[in-house]
Amino acid sequence: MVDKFFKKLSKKVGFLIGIFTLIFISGFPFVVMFFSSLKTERQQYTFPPTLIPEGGITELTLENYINVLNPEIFPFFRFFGNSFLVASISAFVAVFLAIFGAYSFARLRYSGRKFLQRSIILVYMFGGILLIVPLYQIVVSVNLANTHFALILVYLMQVLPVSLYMLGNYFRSVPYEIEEAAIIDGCSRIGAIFRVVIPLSKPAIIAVYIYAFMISWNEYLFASIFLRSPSLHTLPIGLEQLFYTEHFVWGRMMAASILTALPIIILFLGVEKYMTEGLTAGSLK
Amino acid sequence: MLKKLNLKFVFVVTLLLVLSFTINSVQAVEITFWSGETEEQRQAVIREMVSDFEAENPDISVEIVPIHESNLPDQIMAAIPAQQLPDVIELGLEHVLLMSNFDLLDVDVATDILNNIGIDDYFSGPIDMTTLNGNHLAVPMHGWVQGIWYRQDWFDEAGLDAPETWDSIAEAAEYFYNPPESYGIVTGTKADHYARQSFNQFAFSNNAYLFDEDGNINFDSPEMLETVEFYKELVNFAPPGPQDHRDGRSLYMADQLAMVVYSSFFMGTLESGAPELIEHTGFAPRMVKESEAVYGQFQSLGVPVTSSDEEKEAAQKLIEFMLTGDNYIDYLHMAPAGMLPVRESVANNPDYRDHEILNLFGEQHDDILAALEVANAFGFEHGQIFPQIGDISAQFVIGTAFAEMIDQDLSPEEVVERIQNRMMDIVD
Amino acid sequence: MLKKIINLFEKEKYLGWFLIFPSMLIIAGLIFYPVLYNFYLSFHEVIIGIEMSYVFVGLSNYIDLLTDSGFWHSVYLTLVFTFSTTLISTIIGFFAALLLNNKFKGRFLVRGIVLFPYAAPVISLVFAWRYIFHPVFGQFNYLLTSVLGVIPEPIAWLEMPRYALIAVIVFNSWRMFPFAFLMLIARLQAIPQDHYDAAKVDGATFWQRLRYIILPQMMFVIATIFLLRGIWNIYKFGEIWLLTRHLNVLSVYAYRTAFSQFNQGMAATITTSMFLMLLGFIILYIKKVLKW
Repeated sequence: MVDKFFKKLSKKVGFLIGIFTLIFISGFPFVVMFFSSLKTERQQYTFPPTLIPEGGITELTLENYINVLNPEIFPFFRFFGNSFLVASISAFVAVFLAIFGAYSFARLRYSGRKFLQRSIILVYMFGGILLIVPLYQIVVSVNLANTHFALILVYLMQVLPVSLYMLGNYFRSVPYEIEEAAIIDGCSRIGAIFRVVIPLSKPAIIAVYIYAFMISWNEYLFASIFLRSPSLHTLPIGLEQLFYTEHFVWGRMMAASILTALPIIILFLGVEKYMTEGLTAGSLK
Repeated sequence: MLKKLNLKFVFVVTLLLVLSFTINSVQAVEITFWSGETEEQRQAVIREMVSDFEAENPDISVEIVPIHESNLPDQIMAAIPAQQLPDVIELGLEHVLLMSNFDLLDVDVATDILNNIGIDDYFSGPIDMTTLNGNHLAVPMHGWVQGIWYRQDWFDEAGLDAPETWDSIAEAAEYFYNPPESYGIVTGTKADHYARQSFNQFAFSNNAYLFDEDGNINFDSPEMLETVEFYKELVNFAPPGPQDHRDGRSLYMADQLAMVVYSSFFMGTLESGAPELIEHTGFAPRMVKESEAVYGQFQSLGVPVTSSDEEKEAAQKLIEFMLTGDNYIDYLHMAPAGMLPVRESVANNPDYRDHEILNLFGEQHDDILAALEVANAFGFEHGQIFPQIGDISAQFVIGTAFAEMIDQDLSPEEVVERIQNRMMDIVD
Repeated sequence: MLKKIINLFEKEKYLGWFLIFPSMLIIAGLIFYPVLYNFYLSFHEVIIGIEMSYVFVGLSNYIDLLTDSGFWHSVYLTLVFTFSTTLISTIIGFFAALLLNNKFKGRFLVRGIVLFPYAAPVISLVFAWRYIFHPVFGQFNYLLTSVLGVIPEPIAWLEMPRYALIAVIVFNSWRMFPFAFLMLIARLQAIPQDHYDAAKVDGATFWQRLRYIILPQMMFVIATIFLLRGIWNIYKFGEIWLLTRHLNVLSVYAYRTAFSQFNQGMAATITTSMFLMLLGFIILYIKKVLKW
């Protein structure tokens, strides 16, 4: 009896230790980021490293956040605005194109459909670094260097394959009867898309939007090569520049990092449900 | 019905969005100015100056693009084929030569500007260092000198001499090396400009030159080897790994470093980051071993040949605007003692000299100005300019070799050999 | 007029092509065409001047590349990086999946936290990690020197090429483990409860259950993770470059060649070689996995 009790206890304790270790591994760098963002420059340089500065919690300060949001010191809002602009436009257009494309894959029959579907999977074998040299030359030669437009096109390119795949899967899992009924009632195909398929696929569509938004928001390589004017820079570029300025301040970097991550983490957590649903729907078949 | 309208509506909206990106309004002459001041606070000063300029010249509009000096070679190389060189570009000495090697600088405009401002007013150093084969490549803007900033209070307490000679530097570095509480000295050992600049001073103080009088690379001289040996020894008294001036600066301000090789910019840095250290800090710009060496650097403004005549005219107006009168003094005050005037009349101008930070550093400021006259750099040796220094410094040959030295524990001979070979490769 | 056009659209074929056309245009124009153009570029030397010019050099880029020891070192670094990161992140992900497969209070919250490293933008993470790897004040050095006593003196992890590999592996394993976790837990949760029940009846211990029930069912997912991460990690750029400039994995090597040395012909050669190696890997791997 006692034996069993200890076994159960040690199992529970082991489990709890495991969970806490997991939380620690995942969260520690964020905790460092958080506390660093609240320290002055002198407080960053302590040995041994501490999270809370000498003097306790009252010594923490918000000055880094204030400074980083001060346009005189760091044009955070400009970068944020650029990132937001580029990300939301690419996500919107991506969803738009992917809905139609995925519907085409899922519901319509035409020669070459299978071929197209297969070729889309091929794009998984290509990565940014493979494309950037030729794309750079192409973009320069058509005078689109240093524009948001070129960047949006690139992000579309990056997210469309996955979006088409995800939505295609999901659409196939939507029962065809409802659409059929609508079409028999005199609805056009496109009408059916808007009236039946889209409303029924909200989780997957939201997932695609979030995914496309995230990819654009986080992207660094193409943004750094395509965008020359600081007025166009996105957050990743702006943050990197901040790091290399003369008066770089650890606390400000951390504050800026947190502010940059916040929108994404909120979005991601808020709709994580939808994402996993969108990703795994259809594969349950 | 509604669905069809929806579709059209969406199309129109998307079209409008796309169009709004591509519409450009071209009214005034638009010029681009690549500024080396990436600091947002300094950018604010420049922006204000530029908008005053635009108010005075309503037919000109200026876009300011801040580019850090370490990125400049890459940005220049990227802009050339994309035809996106600016109309005014801020250049360090080596970058002036880099661009001139590609024949990209308009010397006529530069000469014109210098004459308008008054070429005789300029200190001879900056002018000589930006003139190649009788052509003025760019317009000198401001300069700085480098030296060793050190904790005077620590030195006094320990009874050590000021770090002006190799011996006193080494002695102090060893004395104060007590990790992790304190480190002795930080010199440049990363692949950047700072490493070359920091090493340069040691080299010149030992009469070790990069070029010989015929313009051949002469890095494998015994004097240079001796300097590299000394430089390597000093690394033992620095924090682990390759260092740059930012590492040195933060450590110094955190009260944990005895000496740091840094430019006269350090004055302003201390004032904003650790003002309590100002009274405990000394500056030694002249390094002595076989001779006395001061390292200095100038920033200039150049006008690329790729601009149109209108753009060059506008560029000229902008440069003359920024480099004269109160504007010039305001500009220099952005970084007190970090931006030293290159014209004698300005150096003596009470409006310039009367600045709270400059006053704090009183006599050191005069020392610094005096040092500016005799400041020198690799590539500007034996009374000549060797334009190859442009390419060499763009590739960070010296810094890279020192970083490798630390990473792979190379001997000084190996370091010298690598640098010599790589420089020869570049020059050929 | 409009009715006529709309009638036309109703024809399924046209509609099908019309709907997929814009997407295909973007994908073909921005992926397939550049890949081919890249291949073309790899046989040329691109000269930067006021106008870019292209000189056909045949195979000489490839010969120069294959005889360059820097290239092979880069290949070595890339392989070590990719394999180690995938291995470690899969192990951590597996650990997480096992734990989170149980229902407990706060499970949803923990699951959210576990996804942070993967969801957060890389640019947000690198500065905190640079601080963690700081040679004087960083927690990583503190852990290894003072706490665990594993190394005698702190190391400049991000500045020294020989140590940068380790730092980058640590960072990326941390960043990627949620991906492995998501894939593993989806499969784990699909294991029917009666398998476990049968095992319980037979008196199996946790480790036996792990070995005989769980692992066999997870093998395919694990193999897939290795394949996908293998492909994607080879192309990873930001996750390395933003942390340290001193690790020359193939993507960094190509980037430097293209944008620091402006040797874009050679850069195209490097990336084409990367692609060919990847292709070889995929073919070999799929054969091996299919035979599983």
